[in-house]
Amino acid sequence: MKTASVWLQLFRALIPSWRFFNDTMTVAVLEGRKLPVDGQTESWIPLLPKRGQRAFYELFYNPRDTILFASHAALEQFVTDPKSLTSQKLIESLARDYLTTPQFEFRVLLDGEEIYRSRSSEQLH
Amino acid sequence: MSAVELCEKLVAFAALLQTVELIGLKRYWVDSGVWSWKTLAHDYDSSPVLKKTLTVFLNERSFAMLLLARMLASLMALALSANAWVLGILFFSSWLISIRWRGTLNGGSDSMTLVVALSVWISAVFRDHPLITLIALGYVAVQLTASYWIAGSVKLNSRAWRKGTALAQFFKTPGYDSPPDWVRSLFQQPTALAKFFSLLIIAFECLFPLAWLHPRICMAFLACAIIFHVMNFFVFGLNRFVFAWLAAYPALLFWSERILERSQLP
Repeated sequence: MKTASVWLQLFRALIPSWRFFNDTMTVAVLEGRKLPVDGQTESWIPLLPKRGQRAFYELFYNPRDTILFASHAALEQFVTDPKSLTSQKLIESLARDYLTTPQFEFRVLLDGEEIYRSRSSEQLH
Repeated sequence: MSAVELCEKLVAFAALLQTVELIGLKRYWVDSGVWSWKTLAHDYDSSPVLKKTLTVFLNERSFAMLLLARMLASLMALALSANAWVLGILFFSSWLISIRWRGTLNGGSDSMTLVVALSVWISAVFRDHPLITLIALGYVAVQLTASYWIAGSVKLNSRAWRKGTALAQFFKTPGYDSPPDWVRSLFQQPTALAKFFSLLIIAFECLFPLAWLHPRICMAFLACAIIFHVMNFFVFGLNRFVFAWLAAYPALLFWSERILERSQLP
């Protein structure tokens, strides 16, 4: 990350941006699949889950939505700067976390088009 | 209780809830987690001194201590009044947590928490200078007004929002795709009702600056705002926004009362 961006990241939360739900956003999707063990390739599946209905107590304590928003933010940061080593590692860790397997591959789609595909985890490790 | 004290208590409550939530998310920020500091620290490779400094505060062990300190500071701020040290810890821990999550963990809610925490801290540091408190509350009130007005103006410029189709599109967007069934069915088609609700949201946000004119108008806008944020929680899951924004409301109410008092002076 460039030095200027580093300083911007430090002060980002102190410089509010209030442009919420401004327009239809570009849609980034993280998909993954387990690597075949018997030669049969699995289909790609979206990794970031949908939320169910929210209970009233989650108004006060809602880690599931909070981490899901953080995951989508990480994906958006990756789309904005795919060369960032941190973004790449974050996305890879996210995919591993959701697929719960050491052997997997993942890809990022932007508006339905593949913009990034990982090397297989065998190559990564 | 004064407006600034009320802001203190409410931001402390918001920070307490946020911190408990973060403790519940521990598996994500420990060294073996997705958001491990060992991964995130690469962002600062170009600035070794900064990286080293931040690592002191944000490695796994320090981050756990930071959350503990923030929780204690929140509880103390709820119990005590205008303690600059406590409010300073609240502000700086909130800032460091945002940095730990590459800018913000939860977008605008982190920003609003920081706006209020910074203002009440500065007010406590300069407690013998009422003018500073006035400016601090004014800053919170302006940011609060801007948060609605900017969001509303941007929506007003969007054709999808004016036509009432924007919300249906948001419900197809990952992250915002789990509204209650009745909300989804209400906005699925571009009906007159969907258009009415979209225009209602735009009108509420764009007209929010009117809240400065009179305390009664202000109270009416704030009541609508609370309903708006609670709905946003049930529809989108944005629970942190409810309490972060609530913490800013006493500042705007204070300023609307002050403007009225000044306008009635002979």
